[in-house]
Formats: sequence, C-alpha cells, structure tokens
Amino acid sequence: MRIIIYTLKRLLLLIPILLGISIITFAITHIIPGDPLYILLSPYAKEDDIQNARVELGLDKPLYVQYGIYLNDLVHGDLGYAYRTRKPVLDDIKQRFPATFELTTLSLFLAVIVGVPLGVQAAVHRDTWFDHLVRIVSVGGVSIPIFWTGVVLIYILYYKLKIAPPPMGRMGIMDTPPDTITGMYIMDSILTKNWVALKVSLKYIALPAITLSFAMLAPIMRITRNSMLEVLNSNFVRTARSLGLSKRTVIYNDALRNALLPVVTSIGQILGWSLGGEVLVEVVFSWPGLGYYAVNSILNTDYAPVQGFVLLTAMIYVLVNLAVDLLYTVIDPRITY
Amino acid sequence: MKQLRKWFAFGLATVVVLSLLLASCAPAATEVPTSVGPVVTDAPVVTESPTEPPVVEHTLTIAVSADIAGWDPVTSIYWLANEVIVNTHDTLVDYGPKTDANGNPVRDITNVVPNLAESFTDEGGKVFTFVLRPNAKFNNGDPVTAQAVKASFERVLSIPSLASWLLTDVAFVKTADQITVVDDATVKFTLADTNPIFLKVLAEMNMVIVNVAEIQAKGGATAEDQQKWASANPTGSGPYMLEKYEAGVELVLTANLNYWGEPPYYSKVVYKIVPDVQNRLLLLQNGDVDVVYEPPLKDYETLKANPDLSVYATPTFGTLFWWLPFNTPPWDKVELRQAIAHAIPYETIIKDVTYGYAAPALSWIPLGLEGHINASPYNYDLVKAAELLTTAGYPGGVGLPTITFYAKQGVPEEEQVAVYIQAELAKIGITMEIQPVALAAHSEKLASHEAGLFAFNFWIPYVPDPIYSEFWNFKFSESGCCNYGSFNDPSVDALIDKGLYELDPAIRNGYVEEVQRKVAAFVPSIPIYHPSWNVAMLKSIMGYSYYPDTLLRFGQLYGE
Repeated sequence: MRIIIYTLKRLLLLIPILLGISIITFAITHIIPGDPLYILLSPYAKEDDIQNARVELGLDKPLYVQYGIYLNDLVHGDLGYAYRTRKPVLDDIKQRFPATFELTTLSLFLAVIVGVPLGVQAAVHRDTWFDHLVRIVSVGGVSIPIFWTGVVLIYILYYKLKIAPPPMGRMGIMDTPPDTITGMYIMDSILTKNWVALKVSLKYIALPAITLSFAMLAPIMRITRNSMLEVLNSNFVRTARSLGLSKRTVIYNDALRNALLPVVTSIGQILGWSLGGEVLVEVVFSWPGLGYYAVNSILNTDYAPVQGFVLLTAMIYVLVNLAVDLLYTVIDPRITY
Repeated sequence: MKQLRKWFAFGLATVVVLSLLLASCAPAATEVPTSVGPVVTDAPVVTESPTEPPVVEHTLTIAVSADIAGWDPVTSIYWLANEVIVNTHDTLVDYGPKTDANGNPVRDITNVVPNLAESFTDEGGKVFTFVLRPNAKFNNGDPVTAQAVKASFERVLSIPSLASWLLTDVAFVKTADQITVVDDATVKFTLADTNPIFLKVLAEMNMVIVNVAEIQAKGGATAEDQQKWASANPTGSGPYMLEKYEAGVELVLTANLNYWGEPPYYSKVVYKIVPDVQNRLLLLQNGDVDVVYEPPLKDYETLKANPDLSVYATPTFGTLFWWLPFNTPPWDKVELRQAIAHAIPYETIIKDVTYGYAAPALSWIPLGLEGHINASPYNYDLVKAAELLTTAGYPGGVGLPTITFYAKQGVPEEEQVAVYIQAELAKIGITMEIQPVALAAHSEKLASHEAGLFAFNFWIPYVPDPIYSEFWNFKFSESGCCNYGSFNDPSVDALIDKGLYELDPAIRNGYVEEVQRKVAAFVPSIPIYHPSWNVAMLKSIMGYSYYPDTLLRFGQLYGE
C-alpha cells in the first residue's frame, strides 16, 4: 500500500515539474532572437502581412496571455501546430517517438547485456590485460564522437563491404513496414507475425543500435566495474567465499546483486538522456526519430514542436527515474518507501 | 510477504514503463502515413493507352536533406514542396528546350510554348486567349475546363500571397472579371495594360492550375480549412500524383493515370529524407538512390570522374548580393561602399569557395537575362579601395566603426565568403566581425530592413526577367523582399515601372541597362557571384533539363 501511495505522490509531482518546464521552455523559445513569422511566411511578405499574421496567430498578445492560451490548449491535449511539417505536434510526436524508443531501448539492451558482464569480469580480473582492455574500450566509448563511429561503420560496412543496408532510415524503399500497432517495427513485426518485416527491421536497426550502444556501453561498464570492486572487497563476500561457496555463485548471486544499485541508476539516466533523442545517430542513419525532429524545429524557430518535445522528454525522464526507484526495492529488499 | 511486495514493485515499475510506451506511441494504423489518391501497385502491368498504367514500373529515388510539406501552390514557400507542385500540377504554358553555350540542356526563356493549354494567342500584349487540351483531366478524373482554370486563378486572387501579388501587380490581372470563359475549352485574359512578361508569369510554379471544385468539396467549410487541406492534397493535372507522405521519412509520387501527355517513364518517384550530405553521396555512388541535389562542391570533381554518374553544373540567374547600410553614417558615403566593393576578392572566392562552380557577377542583372551589361566597375583592387577610403575622409580606415556582418547559420559557403572579405577589408584598415545568426533572426533582420545591416541575400528570380529582378531588388520598399536597404531612387522606380509595361524589347532593355548603371554608381548592394545549380544522377538517367526555377521535371526523365 505504501508503495502505491509513494508512486502516486511521485506521479503527482509530475504536474508542478511539467508546469515549471513548460514555463521555462515557453519563455526561452519566445525570447531567443528571430521572429518565426519571417520563416513561416513567404520571404516576399510585406511588413503588413507579417503584422496581420502576428495578430491572426495571437503572437501580438503579451507573453503571459500567450502562455495562458498555450497552457489551456495543453491541458486539452493540444500541443500546437508544427508549421514546418504542417501537422499537429502530437501527430508528429506519435509518429516519431516509436522510432526513437525502439532504437534507444534496443541499444540500451545491447549495452547492458555486453557492458554488465564485461564490467564484472574486469573487476574480478582487476589489473590484468582483460581489465585494461575493458578500460580502453570504455575510454573509447566516452571519447569517440558518436557520429564518427556511425560514419565509420557506414563507410566500411555499407559503402566498402556492402554487407550493411543503406543508411536510409528504418526500412528500404521497396520494403513494406508491418501493420501499425505500437509504431515500433520490431515489436509490430512480432505481434503481426510478419517475419519478413522483422528481418528487414533488424537489418536496418543493427548499425544505428550498435553505434548508440557503443556510447552507452562505456558508462555501464565503468560503473559496474567500480561498483563490483567495492563489493568484492567487502566482508560479506569474503565470508561467503570462506564458507566454501563457488566463485561464480559469490560473484553473480551475491556480489553483483549488491553492486547493481548504482548500475541501475546509471541505466535510468542513460535511458532518459537517450530518449530525449540521440540526434547525431538519427541524423547519420536518417533515422526518423524525435531528436532530429526537435533539432530541425529549433533551427526553423518552430516553437510548438520544441515545447512539445521538451515536455515529453521531461515526462519520460521523471517516469524512468520513478521506475528506477521502484526497481531498487526489488534489487535491495532493505529499501522501502 | 516481502517476496510479494518485491514482485509488486517490479510489476509497478514495468507498468510505468509500458504505460509510458503505449501512451506515447500508439498511432492508429490509418493516421500515418498520410495516403492520398488511388494507390498504384508495384507489380508490372500492361498498358495500351495513356489512360492505363505504364508497361513496366520504373522507380526514381531522390535523396533529399529535409522534410517536404505544404503543396498549396498559392502559399508554398519551400523549394522541395515547389518541386512536388510542378510535378503534380500543370502551368498553362512552359518554356521550350535548348542547349546553352556550355552544352547544358536548359530551357529557352525566350520561347514560351503551350503546356496545359494546347495553343494560345497574344493580341498586342494585352489580351491572351488559351485553348485547353481536350483530354486534360485533374488527377481525380475531373476535366480541366475553362471554368476550372478561371476558378484556379480566382483562388490565387483571393489568398494574399506572393502568387496573388504576381497576378495583380506583375501580370496585371487585378480582378477575376479580367478572366473570361469563352467556352468550355477557351479562357481569355484581358490585362489592365500591355505586359511583356505575362506568359512568363503564367509559366511560374505558383500559377499552376488546381482543382478548386475538389478543394471546396473535400477541404471543409471554411477557407482556412480548405487552405490546410489543399496544402496536404495536391489536386493538379500534372504527370504525377501524391501517393504517400510520411513526415521525416519519405514522399512517394506515382504516375497520374489521367495525365493528358505521354505517360512518364518513371511510374514512381520516391523522395527519401537523408539528412547527412555525405550519406547522400555514398547512396548515389552505391546506386541506392538515383539523384542527389547540390552535392558539396568539394566533391564535385570526384563525382565527375565516376563513370556511373552524370553531373550537371548549370549557370543560374541567381546572385549572392551583399547588402550595405547606405542610409547609416558613415556608410552613406558612396566612396566607402565603393572601397568595400573594390576590396572583395571575387576571383579567389569563386575559385576557393565555389570551386569554380560560379560565374563572376559583372552586374546586378546576370548574364543571360535581356539587357545585361557589364555595369560593375568594381574589380578587386586594394590600391583603389585605399584611395577611396582617403577620398571619403577615412585614410587607412582610421575612424571607421567595426562592421558587424550577420552570417546565416547553416549556409557554410556564405560564412566562408565573409571570411575572405574580412581578411581583405583588414588589409585596407576596415575591421569586420562575423556574427552567425539563426535563420529566423537573419530573415527578420533582412525583411525588417534593419538599420546598419551588413548581410548577404541570395536572390533567384522564378520569373526569369530583368525588370522583374530589378523590381524586387531596387524599387523602393520600406520592408519585405528584397530591397533590403530601402534603396530609394525615384528615377530608378520610374524606369522599372515603365519596363513592366513596355513591349518593345530594345526600349525595355534600355531601361534595364539604365537601372544597372544607376545602381552601380550608388552601390546599395554588391553582387558577389552567380552560383551554378548542381545535380548528380546515375548515368542511366536521361532527359535532364535545367529550368530557371531549378526544379526537376520528372516527366521528362527516362532510362537508358
């Protein structure tokens, strides 16, 4: 019961958070130099046309009045209109979010299943060649720009060796996407048992997912290693070993479980950060996700999509952190709320 | 109990994540992608007449940098959207083909030919009668009648826009009464005055014919709703129709089965959005796309050397102008502006920034338009520039304020040009700071005619006519495009006004020349260069021809 109340409290906290973020985003997008009307209207528009459009769109009203109108629309589920795509922002987000979510979650999955075991082994074999290798990979993941990894992979695997599909988004020109259920091609292919679409989806997502997971891998490996080192030196591990438990049991059943808390925290942060749109990967692989959409909107001074994007990202970040906090109680029974 | 609570917490965490996922990403299957018109299958089909699908499906794939939206010809402002418009609609007239001096296939702007109109007559440059093609149909099957053509132009007049302004102020069609339906197939325009460029205006992409009846029937009750509907649903009679548009992903055009002309060779045209320019080139070189627009100039020689590719660099009527604040002291002294004009390393910029793919700007009207003269006396000459500074009372640039140059973000060539100019100005004692600004801020500074502004503007006339160019760039205007410094010379305005009416080419060219001379003496702006328009495509694609608006007509392309 207490956990339900805790969850509800955290969800209620979303309201002031989103309200605060909406005020900040609204203010920033309206204060930065550059009147969007000069982009929205034809470059041939005269000052009178600009003024008429300003009145028509309500942009002549004081900022607080404009914010009030925006907030009223927001609570009615209207995130505004994207002038660049000529569609409601909500429709654009609905269309693009699944692409970003699919890429991010798959990348994170790859990063976790590779990063955690490598981090554990690096800690167990501390200061050996394996540990040094993991640390080099880790440093590489942090220091190599993500777009560079993508460009190199495309150049070698697509352009030179021709074993990867072209960097043209989620599917090829002649491929047919699966019927839409969630908007995520892999999930929808499985749900509709469309194995051809599944194969194509996996083929197209492979390179961007590997690129993104390489960047995610580094912090996960590093935190797992450091956390494991701390736990492996603790008394309960020594006691368990002295009781004759096998090394494998001690490492994976006892030590890893205790070392997981900071790892889960970092995974939550990485997920929140990545769902905000890994713009560079999306640009390099022509991935039609939210990040690229937001950047394009910023460049075109299209207010509404930027505001919608920031609100969504903030909500995701809060929810992911809530999920992480709830997971703590599973990993460590001593934690209660 | 503890175990139970643990699993409950785990379940709750999962529910939070899943609810987040499902709430945010469950578009109805019918919402995306937007599908318009009948869907054409990919399977090969057989045809015996132009009204049936082509024999074999050929797909043309174009990699483009950004989204393409808004296909209402009256309000469209994006270049790629304009390309969709010219391929899904028809203008009444068009330009005939020719080959330019460099062997490039281009359009002959002195030869206006029938298009959607089967024929036309010109009575004294004031009354124009068009006979429509009897088999012309809109893509929904409605016939293109004289009534439909009139309704289309009435719609242009009813929506305040560049198109309506073109019709009233440049084409002299001020009211709908000037458009008469003679019979179902004949429509007559009686202009308010003689007009030497009426046909050129009608060949412009904003003047394509739309199906107003369909827009009114499907677009909703209000004019605003109809405009929104029209911007998402092309209703023309062109060789292609919109099959699918998925924002951020692709746009697909299919051959219009009702098209009055020869069925296009490419039965499907796919625009794929590939934001990264290097990826677009890799895709072209690997044969995964067929056409790439404006490849980076630094890669041009490599592309030319590729035996599988055809690359076209065609001179344009576009000009990169540098607008100077001639109303703001001390720059109101003409000698200072002339000094700046002499300090620009034109040849070096063309060689290093455009890799030679630009023509030197010898005047404010480009070579190729009637009435062009080499009006600019401003060659690169630092000695002369220094002398002019002294004449202006600023020897060695001492006492001059620092110039703040606003560079448009996202256009690296313009910033590079500014860097070259900055270095040369420093040699004569003028300091210039380059301040990058976002597109909107840059547009606002230009369109509001901000005082003291130093900024570039790239101008390309969709109506390839010198008076049209002079009208926009040098006729007095307090705001808007493109006389960004509010250049105000009543004698220039008078020449431009006369040029709009004058039918005699020799007299008209005289006006054009005089305006160039006056502008050259005053230097409100400096023409830097005329860039070429560059397209790379697979060698197997034939039929490419450059249009003054740079838009590709897919119906003219065919495979080897």
